[in-house]
Amino acid sequence: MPDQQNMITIQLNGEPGTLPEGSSLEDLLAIIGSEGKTMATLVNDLIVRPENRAGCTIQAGDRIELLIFAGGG
Amino acid sequence: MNATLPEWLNPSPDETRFREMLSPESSWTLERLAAESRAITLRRFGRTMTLYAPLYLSNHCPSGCAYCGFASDRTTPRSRLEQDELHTELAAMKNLGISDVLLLTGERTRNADFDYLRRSVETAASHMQRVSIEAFPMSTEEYRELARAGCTGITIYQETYDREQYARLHRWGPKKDYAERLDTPSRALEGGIKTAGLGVLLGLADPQQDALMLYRHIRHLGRTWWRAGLSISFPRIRPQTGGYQPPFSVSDHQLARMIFAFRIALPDVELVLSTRESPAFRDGMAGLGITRMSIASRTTVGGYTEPENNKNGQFHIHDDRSTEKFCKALKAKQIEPVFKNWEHAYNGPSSPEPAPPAT
Amino acid sequence: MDSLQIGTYTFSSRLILGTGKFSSAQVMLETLRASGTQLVTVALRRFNRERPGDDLFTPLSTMAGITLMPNTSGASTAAEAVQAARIARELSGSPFIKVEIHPNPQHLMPDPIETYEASKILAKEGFLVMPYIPADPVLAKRLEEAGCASVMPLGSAIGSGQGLATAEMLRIIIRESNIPVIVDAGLRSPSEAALAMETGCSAVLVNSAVAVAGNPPAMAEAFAGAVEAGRKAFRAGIMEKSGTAVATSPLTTFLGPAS
Repeated sequence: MPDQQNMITIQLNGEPGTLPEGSSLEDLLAIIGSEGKTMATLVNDLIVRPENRAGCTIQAGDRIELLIFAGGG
Repeated sequence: MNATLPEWLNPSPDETRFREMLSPESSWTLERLAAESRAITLRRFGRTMTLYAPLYLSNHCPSGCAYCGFASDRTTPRSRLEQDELHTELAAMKNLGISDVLLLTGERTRNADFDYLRRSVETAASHMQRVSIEAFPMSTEEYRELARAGCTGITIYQETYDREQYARLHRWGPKKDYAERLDTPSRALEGGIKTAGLGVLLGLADPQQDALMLYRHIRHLGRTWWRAGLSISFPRIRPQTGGYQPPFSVSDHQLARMIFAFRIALPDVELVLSTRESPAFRDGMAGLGITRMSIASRTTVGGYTEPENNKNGQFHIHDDRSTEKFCKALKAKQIEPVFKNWEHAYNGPSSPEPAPPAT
Repeated sequence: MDSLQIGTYTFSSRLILGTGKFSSAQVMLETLRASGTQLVTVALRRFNRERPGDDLFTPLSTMAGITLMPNTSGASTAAEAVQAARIARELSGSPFIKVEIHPNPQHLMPDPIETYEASKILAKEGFLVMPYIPADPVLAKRLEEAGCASVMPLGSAIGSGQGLATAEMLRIIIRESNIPVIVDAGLRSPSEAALAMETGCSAVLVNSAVAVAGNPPAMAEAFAGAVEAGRKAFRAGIMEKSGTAVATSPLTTFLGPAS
């Protein structure tokens, strides 16, 4: 069990969630099990390209959106 | 030669019906065309006929159009109206009830250049509700200046879309440039002129082919300058000074068929018939498709103040009835003559000034 | 070859399919294959780890000959649509964007003002903008001037199956347009798609009519045939109806006998 102090709270796709402090966006994708999916990632409304995800450290309170293509006319 | 033709002059699938209607061999009988054309005209324009009159500003011309009474090799005496004479002519026209005038000149010369035309437009706009011009091709900037001076419409005929025949007929002068002339209505509409009138001089080339090319030209303009008003005239070559014999003759039946076909294919376009045509033909076509007619026409410079001086015009008019007599004939057909279809306050460049089309 | 040209893209199929309302991704993919479509619209949605099968990018990107046209459904303002379009381009790499802005979730009618604003911005950013719009001829011309690659007027309300309720307006839009006109929304049956093509539109976009059919792949094939037939008929020149107007007495006797 990680120490409470080392966890931060974020907004993930509109829901509150927690994440170990110092995690990158790439870490987050691994944690939620979305490897292999092609998705767009946004941190606080800014698009983060796949090649920049590892270097993008998530801060407490960040709003993160993970978007995919789904069915729709 | 074809390499420089714009793409919109090529055949397109949406003209099949029009082409079919033009052909005397088609399943469209003349009666059926007339009935359909009349129904559309009534629905779109009501029982009205807008009336205008031409005013010849100048018959100076540097061009050598084989079919024209004002060609530079004709012995016709040359003159132009000065602004004081123009005021007098316009006043005489107003007395006849006219408030919609078409100012005409030849091709651009020193004797009748752009400045002269612009001043004349200003003068005419001080008398008339609506001022349009049938003059020489101009630049977009010149058209914009004319629009500011009060010009609301231009008429520019390609005369014929047959390029070889065009080259033969326009023996010399600025009018020789087919492509430049073809592009002129676009420049005018881009310059803020509100309406453009097109036409071919019927008889110069195969009339069905010319009508089809004219249709493509109008469709192109309508799609590109979609805020503009468009009109089509149907001038048949009349006997004129110089005695040119046209290679094709266009019968009343052929002309009627063409007018009906244009009306059915282009329900919103104004169709114009001038005093070149006989009283019987004009009265017959009123209500069947034509929505704009000239009246009380003189084709000479200064013809309204000196009505005796009606020889040596650009062509001989056929319907020489007075305004009063002509309106009576319209009313007998339950058609309302409209002298003022336009409020002067709306004159000026089209607004918003159209952006050039995205290409 | 009579192909549909949008930007630098050339399509031999004039049937565009939507990917919503299918019973499963598998049925949807089978349907796309049966239709022969080459342009497919998809929506942007939040990833939900409970529903990993929602992701269509992987299966669609492995299908040969398919170009993606992401849409901005869910946006109710121009700003939201612009943001969605930029995200979608990151994801798909496709320049196509179907601008779809409907502020009212009941009738889903497109907002013409927001659509115009968003389209103007996106066209400047180099997108091939395909706005879904009410069948309004003036709006269509304004969007053309704004640099859109196509306009997609609705045949009738989305999902309504009312067919070409806007036929008269569509005729005007088609007649006046310099860019492809694609009828989007409202089509219920292949005959309506054929009629739209006979009227002269460049393509049709169908979703509900195929997705909720008893057998979606078979219905997609039927639509494909109808679109092709309608297009051929338009190009061949359709015979006139007769007796649309009949005069009670002759109108042309003033012309005298034909010479």
